Amino acid sequence: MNFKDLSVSKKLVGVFALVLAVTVGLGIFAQSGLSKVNDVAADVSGNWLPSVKALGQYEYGMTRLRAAQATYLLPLDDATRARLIKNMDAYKAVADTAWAKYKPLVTAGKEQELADKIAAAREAYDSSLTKNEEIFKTEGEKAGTTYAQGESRDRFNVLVEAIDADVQFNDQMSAQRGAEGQSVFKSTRLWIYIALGLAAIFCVAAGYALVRAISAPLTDMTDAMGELARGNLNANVPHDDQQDEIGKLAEAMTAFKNQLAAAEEAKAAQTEVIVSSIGAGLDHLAKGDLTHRVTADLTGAFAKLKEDFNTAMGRLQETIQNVLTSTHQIDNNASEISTAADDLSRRTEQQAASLEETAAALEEITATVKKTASNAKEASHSVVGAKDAAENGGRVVETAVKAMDAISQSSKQITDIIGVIDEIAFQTNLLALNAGVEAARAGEAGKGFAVVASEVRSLAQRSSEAAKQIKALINTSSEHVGDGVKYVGETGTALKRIVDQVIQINALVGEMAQAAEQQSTGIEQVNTAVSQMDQVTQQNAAMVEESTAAARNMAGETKVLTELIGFFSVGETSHVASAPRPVARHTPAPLPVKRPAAKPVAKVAAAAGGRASAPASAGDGDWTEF
Amino acid sequence: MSETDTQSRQYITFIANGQEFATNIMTIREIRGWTDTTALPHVPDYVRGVINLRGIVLPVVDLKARLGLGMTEATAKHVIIVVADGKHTTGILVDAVSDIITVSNTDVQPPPDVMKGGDGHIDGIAVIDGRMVTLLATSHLTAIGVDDAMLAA
Repeated sequence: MNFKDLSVSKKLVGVFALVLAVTVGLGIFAQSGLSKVNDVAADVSGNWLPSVKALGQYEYGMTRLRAAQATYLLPLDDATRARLIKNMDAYKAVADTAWAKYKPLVTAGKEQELADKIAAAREAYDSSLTKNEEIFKTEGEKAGTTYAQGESRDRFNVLVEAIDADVQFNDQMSAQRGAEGQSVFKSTRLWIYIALGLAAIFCVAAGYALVRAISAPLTDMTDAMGELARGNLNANVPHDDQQDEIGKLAEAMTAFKNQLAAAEEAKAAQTEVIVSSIGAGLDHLAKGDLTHRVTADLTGAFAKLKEDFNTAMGRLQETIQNVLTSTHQIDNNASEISTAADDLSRRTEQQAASLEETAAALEEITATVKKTASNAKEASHSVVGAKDAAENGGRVVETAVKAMDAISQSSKQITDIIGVIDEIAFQTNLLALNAGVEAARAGEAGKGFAVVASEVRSLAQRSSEAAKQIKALINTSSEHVGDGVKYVGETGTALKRIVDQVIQINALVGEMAQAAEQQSTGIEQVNTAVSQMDQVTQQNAAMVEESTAAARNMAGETKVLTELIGFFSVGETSHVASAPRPVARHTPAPLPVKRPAAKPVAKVAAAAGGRASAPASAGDGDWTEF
Repeated sequence: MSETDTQSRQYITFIANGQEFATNIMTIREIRGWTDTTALPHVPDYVRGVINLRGIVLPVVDLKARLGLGMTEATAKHVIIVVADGKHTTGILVDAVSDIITVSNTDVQPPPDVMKGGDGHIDGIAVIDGRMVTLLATSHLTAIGVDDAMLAA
């Protein structure tokens, strides 16, 4: 079993498991390298460097002790000496503590030897100290000093040398271990790089294998499917030898392809039969023979096709028969329409003429109304004039009344004066009478005087009579003046009323002028409408002519159509019975030369429409209505 | 002028209450227009009062009232005839003075007998141009108060 035959999931799991193993191995290797480096670092920092530090401390403590020893030999008081002894003990303690720290860090081997040497030298120096003290105490300062400068110093030097040797050894070891750690780190790093490179190469290889094993076959299958979908049944299905899912898919596709091919073949055979039978039917149809029917035995959906074809042929036959019948009818109707259109055309032209007349009449009316409006304006002005005149009249009447009053006053004065004259006449009369009386008394001598008196008396009486007449006349004239005043007053009132009425008339005339203007506007609108109607009617006339032409064309086309339809053989025809209907079924009654101008267009249109919608019911009688 | 003069006499005719009367012109002093009178107490109702005629106090008698025909409503057009019979001078209120006429004695008819106490009141009745003119007696006209006694008797 090779890799190709594994299932896709197994392939994936296997490859990822190998990658995981490589990664884990790499991690373990790196970890071991790191632990080695860590060991070296721990040795350096935990053993060698602390050893150096502890030995340093130890040397420091011993050096101070040696210094204290030298001081001790100087001539000092007891207290200072005691403090010095105490200090020396403290330095010893420092050295001992350092030694205690160092002791566990001693490594077996050479260091142990060096440590032993230090311990021996220390012991020798400690004994020299004790001896020095004894010599100082027993033999004096000089002997003590001599000893200190001699044997004790030698022993101290041995100790210092031993310590330095050990420090040097520890330093050396520390440097050596550091170098070791560095080399370990370098080698480990190199190995990790190598392992990383190997792992990367391995991963790339595994990915490539996966792509080759899964993605490439799938792409091939998709292409093959595409081919099949485009109808190429000879397309090669690859990878059908594989044992995995892709192989199974390829097998299934192959089966599917074969099935499709079989179906295609069956369809081709069926098509052959259909084409031959339907083709024959269509051939007949092409020749115009609508009586042919498909008789071949067809199965399944094609049986339905055959049935549909035959039904269609039947329907077509029926339809063509109907068409034939209708064509004849259309032929008849087209002639009627043509005649009607001619009539309509003539009427429309008449209508257009009438409309033009109407427009002209309307323009005259417009002019008249405008004149009326201007007249009304003039009348308004005149009425204003009349009003002014009436008001003037009122003023004149007032003046007249005043004048009458003046006359009345004068009459009164005249009456007074007449009264005076009358009085004078009366007195004159009395005087004349007295004169007459005196004359009578005078007897004969007064006779002439009596005559004079009598004359004077008659004059007085005449003047009295005249005064009375004048008075009567004045009275009459006063009455007349009174009447005149009354009448003039009435005239004033009448004039006032006239003014009021004139104002009303003015308003009315103004309204009339306004109304006339509105009328003028309205009539202009009507005029516009009429001219539009005129235009529309002329358009109608044009259209009617077009429709006449169209109707004639239609008649011609109908004849062509009849001939064309004649191409089809439909067996027995039913239209023959209705065909001989006369084309010009009626002669339109001659139009009245002078038709009523007020006949609206709409009625003609409606009548024409009604006729178009019910041509069968439209008898000759309908035409006489127009 | 004497009583025996039968030729003719001159009369002044005047109107009172629409009736024409006449009196002898010789008894007439003056004719003047009406002036308001000053009324007098305790006089008969026909006495309208007195007027001042050039310094003389002149009683005025309403002829209409004197004849028992009611009071005259005097206006400026009414006339007072001043009559004097030697004893009295009196003003007679009349409606108007008409004329100076000359009446012959033959034209004068005596007053009819039917007149109660007729003597002295009128001289007679003259018919002039068909008009009846009563000729009043001047003395009777001037007699104030006496007449009442006479009339009463």
